[in-house]
Amino acid sequence: MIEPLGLSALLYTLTGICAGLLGAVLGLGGGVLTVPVLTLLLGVPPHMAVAASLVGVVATSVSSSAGYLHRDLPLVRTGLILVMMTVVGAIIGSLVAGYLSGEAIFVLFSVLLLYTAVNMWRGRRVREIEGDPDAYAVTPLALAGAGAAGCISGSLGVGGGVLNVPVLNILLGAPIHRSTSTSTFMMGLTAAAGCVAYFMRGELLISLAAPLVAGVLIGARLGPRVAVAIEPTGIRRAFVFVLIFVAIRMSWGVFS
Amino acid sequence: MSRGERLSGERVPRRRLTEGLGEHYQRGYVAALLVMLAALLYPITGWQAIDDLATFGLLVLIGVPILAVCRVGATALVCRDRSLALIAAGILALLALAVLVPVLLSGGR
Repeated sequence: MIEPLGLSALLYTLTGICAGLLGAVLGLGGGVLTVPVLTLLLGVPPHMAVAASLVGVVATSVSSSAGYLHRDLPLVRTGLILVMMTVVGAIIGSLVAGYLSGEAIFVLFSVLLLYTAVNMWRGRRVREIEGDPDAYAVTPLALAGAGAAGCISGSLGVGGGVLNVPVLNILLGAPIHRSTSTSTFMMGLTAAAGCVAYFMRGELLISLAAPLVAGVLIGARLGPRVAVAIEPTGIRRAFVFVLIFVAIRMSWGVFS
Repeated sequence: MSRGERLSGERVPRRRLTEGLGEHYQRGYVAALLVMLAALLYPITGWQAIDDLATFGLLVLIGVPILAVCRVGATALVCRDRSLALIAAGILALLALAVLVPVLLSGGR
């Protein structure tokens, strides 16, 4: 039930708007922002934050995919083949997360944040060669990478784009704009599969997820307009330091 | 006509897939946004019906990508694209598993 207290709903909505905006500007799913803000700033238990974040990922995917599909960017067939593995990974990840303590989720999330920060600082090693969009052969290594992305998504409440985009771009050779859009298209299904396990365990709180999702839906639509008006490189560099700070802060609470 | 002839291994044109899915996602986005915005009225009004609406809105949202796979599967069957139809069926089976596994692990509760 949604608590009839407007302030927390307003804070969740604002968190969702920021996650949607930042996701669109920096090309992230939004989960790397949502989970730390909910747990560290708003005091939400880790499992519930992960569950709400997963619904936010679905919202980001639905909002962004509508635009990408109209521009014919996602590799639907290739994406769906990979989704079979990400869904398996998400089921395993969300079940495993049920047995993890809050501290373990914090430590694993810190590692993920540091990996994302390093990737953002170095910049992506990308291929830009446009091939036949129907001719990307899915390799066993790519399937394994997609499975790992699904597992991370299901257990930590993120989109899994940090692995899916390199899988599509570097392993399969799809251009970066197609890789990003295909990853966004895939993460909706992956996160939807992960949501189910949390819902069945009663960890998906409507009072938390509903305002968060409303914010994400608004922020993800505003994001592309904001993105063309600002210089993303400076924000990207600043966000790297934020990620490192948050990673240290999350681990500090566990080890101190 | 045998089953093998009905599913003869054609490929759905990519543009047809992306256009259909684009419309589906756009309608899903608008529906989910309207329901979620209405749900934000609950802290002001306290009406139980709006709380139920929020639950319904989340189910609509989670249903958008799942129904997209159903749509891909239906298009694949119409176009006799056997491989794509099997992929869509496989994903739907896995999603059904995502529902069943937690139930089975909790002893059917």
